[in-house]
Amino acid sequence: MKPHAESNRPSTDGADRVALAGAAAGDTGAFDGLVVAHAATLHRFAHSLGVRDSDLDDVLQDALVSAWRAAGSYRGEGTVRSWLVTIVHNAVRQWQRQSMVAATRRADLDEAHALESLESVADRAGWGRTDGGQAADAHEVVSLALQRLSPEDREILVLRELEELTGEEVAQVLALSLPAVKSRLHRARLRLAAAVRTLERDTPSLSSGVPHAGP
Amino acid sequence: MPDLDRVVGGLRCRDVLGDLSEFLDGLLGPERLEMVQAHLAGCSTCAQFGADIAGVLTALRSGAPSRPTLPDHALERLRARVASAIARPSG
Repeated sequence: MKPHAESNRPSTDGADRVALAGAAAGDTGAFDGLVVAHAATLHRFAHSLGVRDSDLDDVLQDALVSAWRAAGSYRGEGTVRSWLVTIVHNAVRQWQRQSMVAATRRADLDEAHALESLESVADRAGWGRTDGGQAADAHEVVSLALQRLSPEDREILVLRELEELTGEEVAQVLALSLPAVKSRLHRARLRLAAAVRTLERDTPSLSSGVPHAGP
Repeated sequence: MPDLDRVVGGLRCRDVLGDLSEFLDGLLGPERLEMVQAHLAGCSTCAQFGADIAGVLTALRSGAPSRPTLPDHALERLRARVASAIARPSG
């Protein structure tokens, strides 16, 4: 895919590494530069994982203060961006644990996901059907569908498709092997397609005016 | 649901389904790529499904550049909070 303009991330990883080394030595200005460079990505990521607007500042502040304290422990494994996203991911998990409802729901979904075969996911995503499938320009429908996915599926899609982290960076953030990232990403994509189908079926107004290839 | 074990171009639909993401990402090796392409050329079911998935991903990514950026006031608030927190002695 073609990389999109990253107006929120003017920094390169080289510059980030210099800034982080400065932060490790106590330079708060250097750390502030990292905050400015990555705040939009970190904010979108936490928001996409379901952190409520009213809690976003607290979650991000906790994560960034942790990053400041841990700056000296960064060993150059992975990019600074993925290191920061990892810390925010951990902060979000902690936020989720503090909500019993979210934790219960998450456990249920984890179990359901582990049991669902690729065949079943593909079936839900419309494999073998010729009723048109999804429209390429249905960005709104796809965004709505994304919000209906489990946190696991949503986070990997956000990291890979929207924030455009590399497979290696995603592996670092989610503490998974590269093959596990590929497998999870594949299923998440099919579940997204399935969610789009469900939305279009249940909410006909969403797909009105959307051209379909099939009869 | 049609038969996933149908063989076209030396690959079952099931195999192509498993490789679809890597195919779309251009991550398949040359040999495997050729086989998947041969399958897709002869199997309209997989070709249609692949196009559907690619369409969903294109639609998802098309919104990435216009996704909300952090408003200036929110960024300034976060910077101030972090600056204040890290200026304090920990503990």
